[in-house]
Amino acid sequence: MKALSILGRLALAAVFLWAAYTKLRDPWMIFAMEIDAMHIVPDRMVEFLARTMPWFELLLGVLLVIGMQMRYVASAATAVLAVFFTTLLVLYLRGFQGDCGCFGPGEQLGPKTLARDGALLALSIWVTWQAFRRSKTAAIATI
Amino acid sequence: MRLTNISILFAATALFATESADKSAGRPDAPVTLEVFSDFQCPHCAKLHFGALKEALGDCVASGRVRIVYRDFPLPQHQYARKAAQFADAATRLGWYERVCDALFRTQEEWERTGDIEGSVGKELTPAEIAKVHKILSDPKALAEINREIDADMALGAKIPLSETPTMIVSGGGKRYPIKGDVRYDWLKQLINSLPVK
Repeated sequence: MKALSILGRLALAAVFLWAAYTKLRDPWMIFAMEIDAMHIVPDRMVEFLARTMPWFELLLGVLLVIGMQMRYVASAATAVLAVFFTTLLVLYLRGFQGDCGCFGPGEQLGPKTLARDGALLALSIWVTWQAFRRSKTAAIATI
Repeated sequence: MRLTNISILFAATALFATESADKSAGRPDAPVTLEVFSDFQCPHCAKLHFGALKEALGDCVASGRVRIVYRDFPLPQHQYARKAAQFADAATRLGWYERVCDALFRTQEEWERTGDIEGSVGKELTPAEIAKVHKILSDPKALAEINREIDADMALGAKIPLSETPTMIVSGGGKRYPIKGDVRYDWLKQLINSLPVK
């Protein structure tokens, strides 16, 4: 189970690192225009999100690779993925046909995106649960 | 002095000729190209046309940094989009592309309801001008050529692949970015300025 948990953590790390890379290799305006097209955040927030989100994804990816303080790191990853998934689901239900903004430009939001993001969220929840379970076991062992 | 005036006139005529002949605006050797795939019946295309694209025309196109190439991408769900594209392309042959584009987008809601493109656009063009466009569209050979041009634009869009309108392809300095929707000009300009000029 521990090996599986490590694999899950590294898979999540790879996804966050790839997402960060695909955004950071392009000028931030590309991601800003994708966010803006969704009409989900106020105008003044779009630029801030476009500039900071890829760096946050990079940070999460690196922390997931390191694997320390996993309760916090995995919880943050789950929270981020939950926000992404909910936003994309709402947009899809509203009939939004633009880019999902997940891995750079060019991926249109559709059922495949939702299935993939849903699977990632499920994986992240499981990794988080494993992290909490392990820390609880470790605490009991210490007592 | 006279020679200079003639040169300026020639340069201006050349720019105008470029705009009218191939649905583009700006210097052909501009370092950045903005390819715009749009559908005359799409409301977001109208917003982009009167928003970021008009600002670009007055700014980075006028300064020679950008060339805009207009491409037709009439979506199948828009009943009159191809008819409108045919009308605009016929007007291109008369050197009125930009003007007719403005008229088509401005009266979009009207002809979308009635299907009467000539009637709606006719409020912005003279009867003589409408008659000239009509004459081109009545010529089966010219119409077939226009349809071929529209199909060629659509095939180009399908290759990208393009799923929605408006979509712009911004390219320059070896970089190429697809941009969807009616984007803000300030970001578009920043993106254009971030592209390396070779």
